[in-house]
Amino acid sequence: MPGRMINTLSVPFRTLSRRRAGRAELAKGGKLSRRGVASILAMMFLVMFGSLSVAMAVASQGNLRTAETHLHVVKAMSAAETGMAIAQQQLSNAIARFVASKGTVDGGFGGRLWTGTTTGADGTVTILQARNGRTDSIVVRGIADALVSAHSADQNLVLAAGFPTNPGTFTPSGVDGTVYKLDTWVRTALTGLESDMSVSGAKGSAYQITYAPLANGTDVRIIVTGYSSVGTSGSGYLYRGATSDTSARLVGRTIQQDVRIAKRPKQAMLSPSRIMIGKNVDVIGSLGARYTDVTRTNGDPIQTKSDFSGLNNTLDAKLARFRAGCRTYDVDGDNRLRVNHPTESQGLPGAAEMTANGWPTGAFSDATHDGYVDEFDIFLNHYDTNHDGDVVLSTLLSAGTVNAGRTPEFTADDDLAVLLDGANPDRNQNGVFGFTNAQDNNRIVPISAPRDPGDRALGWRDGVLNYKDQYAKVRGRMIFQTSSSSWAAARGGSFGSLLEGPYVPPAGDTATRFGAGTDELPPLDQSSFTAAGASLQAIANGSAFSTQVAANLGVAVGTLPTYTELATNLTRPMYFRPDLADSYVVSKIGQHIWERMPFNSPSFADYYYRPRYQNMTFRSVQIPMGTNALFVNCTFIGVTFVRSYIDNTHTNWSLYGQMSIPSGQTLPTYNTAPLDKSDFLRYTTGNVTDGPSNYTSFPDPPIINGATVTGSARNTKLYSNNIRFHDCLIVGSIVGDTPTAYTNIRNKLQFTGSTRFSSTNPDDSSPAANPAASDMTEINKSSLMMPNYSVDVGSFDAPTDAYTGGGAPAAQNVQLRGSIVAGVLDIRGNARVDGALFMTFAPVYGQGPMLQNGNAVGNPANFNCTLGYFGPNDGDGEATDPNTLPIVGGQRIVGYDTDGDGIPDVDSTQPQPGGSTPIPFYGYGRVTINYDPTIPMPDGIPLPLSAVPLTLTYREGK
Amino acid sequence: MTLRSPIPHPTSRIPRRGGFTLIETALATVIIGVGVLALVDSQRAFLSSNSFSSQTATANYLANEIRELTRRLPKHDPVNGLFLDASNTLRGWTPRTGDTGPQDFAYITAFDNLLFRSSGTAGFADGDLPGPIDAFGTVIPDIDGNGNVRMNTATPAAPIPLAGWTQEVHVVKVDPFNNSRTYANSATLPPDGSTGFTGLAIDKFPLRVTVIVKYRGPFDSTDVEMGRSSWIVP
Repeated sequence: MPGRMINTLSVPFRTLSRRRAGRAELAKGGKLSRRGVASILAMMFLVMFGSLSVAMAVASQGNLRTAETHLHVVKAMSAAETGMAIAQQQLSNAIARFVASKGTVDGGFGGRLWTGTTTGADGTVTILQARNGRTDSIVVRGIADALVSAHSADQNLVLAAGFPTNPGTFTPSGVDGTVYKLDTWVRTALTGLESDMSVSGAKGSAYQITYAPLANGTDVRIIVTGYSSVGTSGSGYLYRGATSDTSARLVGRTIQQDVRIAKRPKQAMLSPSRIMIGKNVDVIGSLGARYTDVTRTNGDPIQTKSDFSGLNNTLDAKLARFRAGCRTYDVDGDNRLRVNHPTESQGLPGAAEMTANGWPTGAFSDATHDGYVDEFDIFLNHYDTNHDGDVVLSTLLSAGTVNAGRTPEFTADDDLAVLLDGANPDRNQNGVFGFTNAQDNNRIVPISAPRDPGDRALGWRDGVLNYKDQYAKVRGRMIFQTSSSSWAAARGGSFGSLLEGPYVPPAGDTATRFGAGTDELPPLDQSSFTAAGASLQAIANGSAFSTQVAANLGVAVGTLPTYTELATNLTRPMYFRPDLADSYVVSKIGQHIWERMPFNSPSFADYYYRPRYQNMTFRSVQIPMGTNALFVNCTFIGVTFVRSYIDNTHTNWSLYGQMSIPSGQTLPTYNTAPLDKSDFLRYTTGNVTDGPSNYTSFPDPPIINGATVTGSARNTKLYSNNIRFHDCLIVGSIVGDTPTAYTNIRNKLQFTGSTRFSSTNPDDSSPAANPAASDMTEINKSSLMMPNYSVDVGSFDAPTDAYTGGGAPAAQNVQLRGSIVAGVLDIRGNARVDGALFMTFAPVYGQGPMLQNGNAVGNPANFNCTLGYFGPNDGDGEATDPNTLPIVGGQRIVGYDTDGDGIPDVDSTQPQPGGSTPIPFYGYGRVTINYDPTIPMPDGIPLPLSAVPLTLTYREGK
Repeated sequence: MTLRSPIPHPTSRIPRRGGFTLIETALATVIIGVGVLALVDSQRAFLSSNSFSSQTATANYLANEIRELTRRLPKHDPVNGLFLDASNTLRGWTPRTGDTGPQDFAYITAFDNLLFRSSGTAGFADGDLPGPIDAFGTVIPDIDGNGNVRMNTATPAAPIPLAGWTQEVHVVKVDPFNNSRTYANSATLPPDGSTGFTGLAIDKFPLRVTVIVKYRGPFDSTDVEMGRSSWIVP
């Protein structure tokens, strides 16, 4: 068999040989010749196989080369991205060195900032020290210089051919002038990324940055090229199999992004005093707390109260259990527990605990499907009685929506319901949101239609609460100047119980940030705003206050000092002089000519005899210093300028002119306690015996308008303004002088009753009833600019939309916009702020209002910025905690009205006077603080400029 | 014997019948064998290089995932900062108490000296964690040729992580003016009067993050570096 096999195998060869041999025979006369054709064939195969092998080797080498190239590309890209990160930081630092008083950065100003050619018309521009901690290497005039100086400190440079060896400005060639500025570009040297480029032959990755100012003046294009391998002798990337640097070539990647020079606040609220966020108050934006005196009673930089407490006892029990779980297991401190997190999920109650407490399955489930359980989930689970995923709101709130007619499940607090259902109005992020009539945005029952039905389809004001309503107590970060450890130590180890409600920080950020520096929390005070109101003040250019009052009354100005209001028609303009007999005023309108200050506060500090202006309209008016008026049912159109004496630094400034009601009397009279040396005869005689032994501890009398004043001339009420606006409509802005010192009593504004505050008249769209169009640019920058004033928006019982009892006043509706500035600000009731809040007063024990007669008094923590309702136990001494109010007739009351004006005259803690009417607590209302950094800032606020990356401009090049 | 019989002997009277055919065949076999061997070797080299380039691409992908994951993170603990405590122990560099993995990490230095690999186990004590991970911090599953996620045999079945791959992360402080100069984690820089430099606090240094991606094949005994990527966080 083997032989046969061989033979069989040999046949083809043989046959083949014969055929070819036959041809050979013919050629050679029949002599058989064999030429090794098999070898030839084999060698042909060898050639073929060899070719294939070579081809495959080449292909595999190509693969390797492709992989190597890819590595280099990735390396170059990595270098470029590193360069971009460094460039953005350098540009941000360079821009932040420029502190500008001008409120907005337009193209012209931006261009001059870049080149350092700003003029006096641009306001003040202060250039701070370099933020890299080094002395500038050149004279810095503009941002371009600042960049060159910053990059001059760069080391590990690559001195490769074709690259600049030092940073500097240059004039590019061949660029499009419609896109770029044609001069003062900045470019850097080629900078090594990791290898020590000073080592001979080093070829590491590197990047080179170019800053190109754009033609629009406000934007700068950062262009970064990263190289994978570059050194003095060339590149280490050998192209096409080259074996020496001579044939090497650079592998680079270029990326670019635009950055805008802008001026904008960094937080929704920045305050050197305590920040208190109460129930039914939501903040969309970050909070900046500069308060650091944490060892004081209630010295908590930020305190937030849950929106869901107090609605239902069972819900309260669930929330208490949840908060206990958060305190132990909430790893990231956002008051939310991640359901799939091995640690945080332990904070949720197990089945046995649920059963033991009678809580249904799912009471602590993730109702919003966001991976977290927070108070909102527990609230939804609690009220979703039919477990369909929706909590149907009251008939009032579901009317007109697709959910009208469904059985209501949550009716306990319509204000809260609207706050939750109306949060984040632009659900589809298209920039169109709210109701057609802007006034409806802050109302429970809108009259107009939504501007964008798409938002309603995504759950906005759709009459139900569910997963579509993206609730957060604070949607942003809470940034503290104090340290976490010092605050915790002052509160016995933990401050967790003071921070209620879920906090949702931006992606990648933590909910809290402690130990923040001045770059994050700028140290603004009243001096920062001295010039900020100038533009607004300038357009408060209407007729004189007295002229407008007289015009409203239809009398001559000269008659006002002796004008006696007859009050024959209570709907017509009325003016009651403050020196009228109180009994006369009471006989006409049933109310006193004087009142406690703060109004309606159980803990008041003074009395004011107020001139009463009622049913009047003012336009672009300046309210003179010392007016201390009560405006009732008045309309203010345009900018209202409240005047005050600014040099109010005397230690007893708030005490001069202070009043009290002596025992047994009914009217307030001036206090007579000595306040300074002039209250003693020794001041004029010089005899020691004419004064007390502690005479020298008394301060000198105040100097006002350059002269020392004594006696009744020291009444500082005449040099300040403490004004109450009741049931008033403010269409425009209110601006004030900037007192040097914060005196919470002497310079104060209170907005009580059915206050309405808007930039457009909700009742009348005619030009006469609205600010001049030319004034709107400044008005939109700030609704309220009252540095070092104490401002109360809403009283301690602000009327709300939600109160349905009889006899309630019309609801408050306050809509503030822009940069809202006050010494200390309280907002209660129904209010919305779009913009940012700046507080100016930094309470320090033993200074300002906490220094009287040379003695340190008070508690810095009692000066706080309060949004919503708090009580004395929280450190808000002037207020009443709604939870502690007595229940009369089934509802909580704030006091008793004895004169029929709907305002409590007797505190709720006192016995009810005969014939009086209990005044109910109208509810918590709702307050929304919506951070809007795009609203232009007024001129004069010296904030560092910001670099805003324009993310959509990112491009990758070759 | 069987081989000889068909081959004509030179002195045989039997007519010559291609007696060198066997030689030719043998030679041809050798030649063709050499060619085939070369082809096979080329194929092996081709596959090897192809595999290498494929693994390099995977390595780049895995390095970039770490880069994306850390892109939005601050350098140090944003709540408590980076500091030396009373006992001179550095705080704020390593993961926080309660952190269990990359999805919890709130800052970049928490990744320092950690390995994310398929054989990794939970807990920081052994220096490795389950991996490799993607930009969301989740473990990347292995996928078969049909695009299906491979599941293990546990109950319930869980995805099998991408086998053989390790992401090794190193974070180091670098000089703010010289990217090639590195410092200890607890370092500070003193003021320098010659340049006006005011010094650098412990938490103000730029960081260099380096991700080394390694692969160990089914028959390999050690991890082989397939790629690395470095970047600076200023």
